[in-house]
Amino acid sequence: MSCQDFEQELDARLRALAAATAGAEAPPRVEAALRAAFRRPAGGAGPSRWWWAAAAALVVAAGAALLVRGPAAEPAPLPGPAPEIASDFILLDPAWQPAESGQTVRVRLPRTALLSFGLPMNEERAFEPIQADVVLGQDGVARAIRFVR
Amino acid sequence: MNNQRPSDEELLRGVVAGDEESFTVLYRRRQAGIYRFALRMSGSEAAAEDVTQEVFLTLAREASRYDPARGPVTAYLFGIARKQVLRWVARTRLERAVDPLPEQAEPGAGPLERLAREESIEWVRAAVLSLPPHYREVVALCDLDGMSYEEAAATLECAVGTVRSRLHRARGLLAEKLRRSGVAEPAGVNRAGCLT
Repeated sequence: MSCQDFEQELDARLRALAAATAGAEAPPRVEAALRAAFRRPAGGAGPSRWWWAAAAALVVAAGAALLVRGPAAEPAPLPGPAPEIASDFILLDPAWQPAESGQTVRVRLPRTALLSFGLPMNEERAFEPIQADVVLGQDGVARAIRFVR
Repeated sequence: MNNQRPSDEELLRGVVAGDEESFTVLYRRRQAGIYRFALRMSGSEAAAEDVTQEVFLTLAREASRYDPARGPVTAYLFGIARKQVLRWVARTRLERAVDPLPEQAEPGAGPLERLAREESIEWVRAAVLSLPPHYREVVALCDLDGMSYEEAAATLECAVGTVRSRLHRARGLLAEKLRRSGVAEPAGVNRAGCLT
């Protein structure tokens, strides 16, 4: 086998790898989250609104993958004492009252979402997702969020 | 915007103006390339998804910072993706697990042929992922994504000659791995003369 043969073999393998991954693309939930995020910045929304919009979209897109923690018809209770370490709830809708109806769902977000809420992020774990509890109103719009570690 | 297919630059102006449709069209046009680049650089679908999301969130938030004098929109997007994925690569170097590739239907291929082909692809994928990042990215862009040297140079913000030399070196390293793998051991070949 000559050097040229090696090059041809390498070319063939690279072409095969290119073909094997040619159809790869981001899953639809990414577009859903991004579009929801894009709709929200108007009206003086700060960076945090980007993330609660994304969180709400993830709730819709991820569907069964999410753990729904309470029936929609009941008042939205803030989750009781949890074994995890959680931040305080951050209001996404300043008018929201904890006694309002709604539900709380747990989602996984890129850790960089912490920065959007002015919370510190461990740079070493920047690519590890972080869990968050999102309180949704009966209209499906996020009202508050807390991060869980 | 006219009735023709809008350019990336036109769509970007729409994004700056807050037009969701422009954002969506631009996302659908460019997301796959970004995702594949991140996937080929990281070997991780989760990382590729995160990188894609971060690239377009950055675009949505900071589209007005795009400077057309520095290159096309694709180079801008790949530049963001590159920074993200290099951070990921640096942080996961010691603990990286490579996601398996999806199985591909190959009409007419027998089980042994399919197995051999899959092994061949996995071999070259592992070999590419083992390259230093600055070599890996030129292979990902030029050999796997089909970019020209000029496009890759704009994306990597370096000279065309740099892309050319890195690609040459990267292919030399891959050929050496191929030789060492024993799959295609040549007899009496001057190894130093192969792709070096």
